Amino acid sequence: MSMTDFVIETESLSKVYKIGFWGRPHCALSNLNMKVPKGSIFGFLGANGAGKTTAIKLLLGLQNPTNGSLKIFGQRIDQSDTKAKVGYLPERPILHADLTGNEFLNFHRNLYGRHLRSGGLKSNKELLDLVGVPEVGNRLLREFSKGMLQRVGIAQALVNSPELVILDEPMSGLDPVGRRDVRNLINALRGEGKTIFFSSHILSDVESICDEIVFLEKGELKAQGTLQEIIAGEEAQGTEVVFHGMKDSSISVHPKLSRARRLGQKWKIELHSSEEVKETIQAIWESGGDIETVTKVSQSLEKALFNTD
Amino acid sequence: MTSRIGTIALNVLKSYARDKIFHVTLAIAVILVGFAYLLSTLASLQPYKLLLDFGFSAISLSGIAVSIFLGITAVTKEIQDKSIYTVLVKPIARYEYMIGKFLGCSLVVIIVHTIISSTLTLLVIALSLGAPDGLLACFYLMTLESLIVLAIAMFASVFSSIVLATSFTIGVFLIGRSSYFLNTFYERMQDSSLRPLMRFIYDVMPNLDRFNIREIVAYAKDYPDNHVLIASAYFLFTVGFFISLGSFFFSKRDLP
Repeated sequence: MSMTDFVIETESLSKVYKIGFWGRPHCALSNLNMKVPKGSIFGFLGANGAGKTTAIKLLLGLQNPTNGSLKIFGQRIDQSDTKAKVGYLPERPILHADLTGNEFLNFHRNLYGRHLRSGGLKSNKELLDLVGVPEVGNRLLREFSKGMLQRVGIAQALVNSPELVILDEPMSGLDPVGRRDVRNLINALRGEGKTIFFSSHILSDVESICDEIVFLEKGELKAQGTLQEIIAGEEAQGTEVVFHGMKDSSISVHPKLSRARRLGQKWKIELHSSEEVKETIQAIWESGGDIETVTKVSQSLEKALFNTD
Repeated sequence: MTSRIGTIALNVLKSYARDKIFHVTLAIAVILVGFAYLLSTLASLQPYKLLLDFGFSAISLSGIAVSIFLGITAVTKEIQDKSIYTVLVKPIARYEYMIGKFLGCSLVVIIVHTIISSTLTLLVIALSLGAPDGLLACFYLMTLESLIVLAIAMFASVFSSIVLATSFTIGVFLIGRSSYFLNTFYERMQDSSLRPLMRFIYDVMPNLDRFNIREIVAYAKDYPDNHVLIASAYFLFTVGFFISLGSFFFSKRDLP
């Protein structure tokens, strides 16, 4: 890939805060090297306090790095032309409560001044329709629920038809329907050629839509790559067998089935080789059990990142 | 640049115009002036001067209180609720944001002063035959004083906590209002080792006494013709200094 194929490039990006009365150093981000390909959905993963929001604030010029460098579209973020290509939603924002939905979007649109791009701009109505709150244009933001605020916040991030959309925990505070809608919206934005960079601590959200992932832990990069690279292919896959019709006592003492976990009236066992699958199915039949499903499962991102069972 | 600053300023005005705290503050200020009128009707001697004295105090107190509140919260509130992030990632420089916020808050302060001053003017006219000389100049200078306090509060709020910034602003305001006494002390402390310190404070702190012609107007005294002009120039210099310095600190600051 050439340099222009990356919308975000960081090199040894670090941030050290001074905390407490004596200014004790606390490293929130250490030597982050990251390249975000153009047109991708890029997941920025990590637990709370891993350094995701710090990294995003550095990317957006809201904080200054202690060390390292970063470029957005090959330029410094403090360039107005660069800023004009970026849209941003902060984590759990409390937006200007005394404005209506339309006033809020107009306010943010007017901040671009002459830097407002001419192509692909959407009207307030189109934006509010897009994020699923078409009825709120004339209502004050203070009357909105948390989920509605999040949606209007996303609309705000799109007023300039940005090439890069940075969303900090966009699904936090949303109900399952809202989360699904945001996932669909992110996919739709990618369809328009935009690059989506979003942070989350919810692995399943990232797993379902991201092309590439960076995983941070305590300020340090722990894993980076495509989902397939991180999950590490076929070797890491397994098979899940669900069965019923056997007594608890016979399962707990059976050498092949004692690892099975109860699911109501059924049992589930996870297996990691085809040989193991054959032997287990044989054991269930011989013990008088009935097999309900045999499913090939990919190793989850959670297992790949945390090595959990 | 102008349109972005204007957008920020108008947004401030719009937000406060719908803020209940602002409405309540304005109502209290008008009630204070009304109270001054009641007091004056009870006075047997010089009710007119009593009304002006109390009325001016009510205007000044309300204006200063509103200025401190707006100046301290204008930026810090947006930082706390993170709404500032969505603004500063746009193609807007931090100094533009500061100037826009200052202009927006200034409009609010000017509106507050105008409403209360108009109320007092109507009451003065109701109690006597007409407004005294210099009443408009007095209102104008009180407004400038409030705007200087607003600039000091905004300056303090960009690099310290709300409590510290409020303490700093009130401290500077009190010293600024005591400039005349500071100068008097300085002149009388001929042999004291504190004399240079007194002179330093007098020179460095904003001289808010320049904006005080309340007594002169209430007691129908004279003031120099160019007083208002000089005070206006001093106002521009002081506000420019604090907003520039505040913008400089703000541009260097990491947002939490």
